[in-house]
Amino acid sequence: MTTIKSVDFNKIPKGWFVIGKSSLIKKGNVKTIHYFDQEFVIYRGKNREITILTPHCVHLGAHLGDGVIVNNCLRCPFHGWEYNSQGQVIKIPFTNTIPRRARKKTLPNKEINGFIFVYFTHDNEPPIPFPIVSFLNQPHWKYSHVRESIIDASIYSISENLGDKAHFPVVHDTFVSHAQLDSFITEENNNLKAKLSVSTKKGFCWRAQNIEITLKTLGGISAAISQFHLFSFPSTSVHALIFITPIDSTSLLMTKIVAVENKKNNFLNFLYNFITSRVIWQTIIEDSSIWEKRIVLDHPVLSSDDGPIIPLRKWMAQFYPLKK
Amino acid sequence: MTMFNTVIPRGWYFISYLKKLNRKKQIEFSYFGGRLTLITKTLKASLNYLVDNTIIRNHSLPTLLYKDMIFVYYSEHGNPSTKEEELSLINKLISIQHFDHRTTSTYCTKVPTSLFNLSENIVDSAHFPIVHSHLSSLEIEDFITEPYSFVLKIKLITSRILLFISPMSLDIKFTSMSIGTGFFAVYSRMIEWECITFLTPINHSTTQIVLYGNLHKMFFFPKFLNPLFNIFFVTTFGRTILQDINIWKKREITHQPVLSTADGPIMKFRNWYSKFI
Ligand code: FES
Ligand SMILES: [Fe+2]
Ligand SMILES: [Fe+2]
Repeated sequence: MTTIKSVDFNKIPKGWFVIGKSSLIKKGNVKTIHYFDQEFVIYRGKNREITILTPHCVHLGAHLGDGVIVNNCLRCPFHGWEYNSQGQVIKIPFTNTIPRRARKKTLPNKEINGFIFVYFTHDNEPPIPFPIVSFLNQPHWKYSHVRESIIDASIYSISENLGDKAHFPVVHDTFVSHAQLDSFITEENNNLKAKLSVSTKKGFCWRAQNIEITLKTLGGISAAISQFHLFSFPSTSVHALIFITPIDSTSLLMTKIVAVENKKNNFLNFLYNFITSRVIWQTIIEDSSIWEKRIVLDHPVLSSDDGPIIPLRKWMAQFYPLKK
Repeated sequence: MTMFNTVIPRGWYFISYLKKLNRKKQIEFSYFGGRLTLITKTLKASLNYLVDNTIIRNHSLPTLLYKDMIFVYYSEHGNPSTKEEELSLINKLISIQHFDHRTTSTYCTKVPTSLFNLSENIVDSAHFPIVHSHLSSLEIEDFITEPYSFVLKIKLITSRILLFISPMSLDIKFTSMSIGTGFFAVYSRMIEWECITFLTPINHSTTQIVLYGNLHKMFFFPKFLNPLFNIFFVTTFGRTILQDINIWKKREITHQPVLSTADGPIMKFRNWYSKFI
């Protein structure tokens, strides 16, 4: 059983991570990518299927990022061994005997709604359930704003934000006067759900308002979706989806998608989308300066006003590798 | 095994031609990850390493002058007795019968790769048709290792483009011989051409290559064309080496490579090589 004490929150947790949009890799192309503190080679076969493998050939160690695609296989540039999408060598020039050890580790991946998801883990257990993001393909939601940025932060810091209500009026004092965590439950399927109400300052909108935010994680701690109503008049419902993907232990790729309820009016859709995106981006910038330099303490001193930091850590522990 | 790329093997290495050096001077070279100082008059060589402008290690290296060429014996841990190697080296050099530096063509380059990558390349027959597409195949017929040297018998089949003089691909047999890890000679009775490669580590990831080619007879062609063919062969041989550089740059030398029946004697070579590190 994993406990807070037994895991290392400075390491990279397991989960389904978005490594980019589908356009990251074109048909018949090979690329080297850097995520999870290591290098990987990604290629898209002629059948459009994506394969992600560790970078060095099992034969004499050449880098497969310089390989070429032959049908749906990746051919090593050095001696021409061909790997299929399961990482298995299926062809060696000038011989028909394929050694049994001739296979490589591949990372499970899925391509949904124009995003490439990759499952990263330290253990050998089957992947945790794939996150289902319902709004991405439903017509009554308009999502147009997708923004990818590199943030100097550990994935832990961002995830902890979910339950850390005490930082809102301090870090986000430009528009938050008070924040309150109404409920905080861990659901089955490894997900966590929190309800947060945030009182905004007057200058934020034409009058102070109370925004109720429902936050939910998806497929581990790699993604979180928040749902809230913005503006009392005319009111609109907003979904903000944030994918975080560790590049290494101190930086990550953040993919932010904002969807607003479809008002059947392009101008309104655009306006709401634009404003919401700006507000969310503003909060991220405010948090970043703290994330950049903070360290994760094993035994933080907590006050009665703090959010459920310890229950949050307990829940997060299941995704982290054990301490060495 | 992981030491292959990070340790410079002990052995004799070519430094320079004596006639190219000013005989009165003390000359400095960058070799073996440090600074090699050679006093040309006495042929005394010493190797030192500078850290923050302070010499942290300084030891003298045995030298050898052979046919105007200066060699030093490098060893990471002090200076073991080199007699055996010295004798073996001279004998082997003499046994390459036609060796005569006056009619040679040379090619010198520095490559950003380890000595190991360059050395293993020649026994790695399986990469030739893939990386060096001007060769359609290379077969290793025999590979005999001795304590300080190895002999390799190779059958090379060229593709048509290589020898524009030939309407079809050629089947050339070569015998190659190494002396330690710093010398490598290839010769073919068929085209009466020989080429000695001197590999000298500048540091663990940069190596100097000097190719020294000598052509006696090229089939029925008149002798005055020899220099031309020789230059062509030497530069082709040199370029062939350079084609691998990009792969070596990102290569990871694995502990237990997965090998197939199509591979050359990789493990036998590695066992031989590891005696020098
Ligand atoms: S190193 Fe990849 S095929 Fe030999
Ligand atoms: Fe925050
Ligand atoms: Fe090569």
